Amino acid sequence: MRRGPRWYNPVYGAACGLLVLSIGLPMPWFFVGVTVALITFGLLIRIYRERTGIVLGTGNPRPRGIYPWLVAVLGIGAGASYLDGHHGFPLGVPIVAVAVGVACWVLSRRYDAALFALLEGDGDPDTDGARAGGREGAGEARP
Amino acid sequence: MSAPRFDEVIHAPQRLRIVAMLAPVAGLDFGTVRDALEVSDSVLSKHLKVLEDAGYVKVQKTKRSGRTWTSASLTRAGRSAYEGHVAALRAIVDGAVETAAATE
Repeated sequence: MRRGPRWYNPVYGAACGLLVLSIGLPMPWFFVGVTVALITFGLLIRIYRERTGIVLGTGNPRPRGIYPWLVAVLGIGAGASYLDGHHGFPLGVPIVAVAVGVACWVLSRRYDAALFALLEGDGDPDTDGARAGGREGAGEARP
Repeated sequence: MSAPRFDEVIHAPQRLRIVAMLAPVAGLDFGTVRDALEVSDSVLSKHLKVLEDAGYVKVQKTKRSGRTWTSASLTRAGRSAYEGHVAALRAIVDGAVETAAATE
């Protein structure tokens, strides 16, 4: 199966970082940042589909283990950014944003790897049980 | 995990592979499934039609950039049927292993 572009996961991480950064910024930079981040997510979903043929959607059922981590990282990062930016610690905002961006980059790469392992029949990373259907093959390559 | 329920529609080898591929994603493009299974357009279309008639798969056609994109996704019924079928297969295999161990 065709993989996504190499730059996909770093750009995804950067967009997540930008989203978190924007939450801690004053107007109108909040809107600017959120808009750019959302447009980037939309473009990434489209490009990923055109390259791999995989339709990404919210709540993809697998890989289950990674998706909650992504949501938690974004949620905690957004909260920390809001508190830093609106309650007197503005330097904390870019620090949180960079941390979230890197974490999302890493998690997104793992999500890709787990997803392609499933699609190419390398098994369910959530269980050790037998596999139904699929075919043997090496896996690699998202929310 | 759903209760074990063997499904004759899903059990056919190619349809089982199709459903197994669709299970972890929101959808897959027609060409991606075809290339992964190494079958022709007509063979894949036939299997998707069977799954669609059973209510397990939804096939959508969208126009983008001047092209028509066909994609398939599992319905809720399809996902449930797949999980039940996988549970049934595991129960069969586990039962056979226990029987073999007991007769040794």
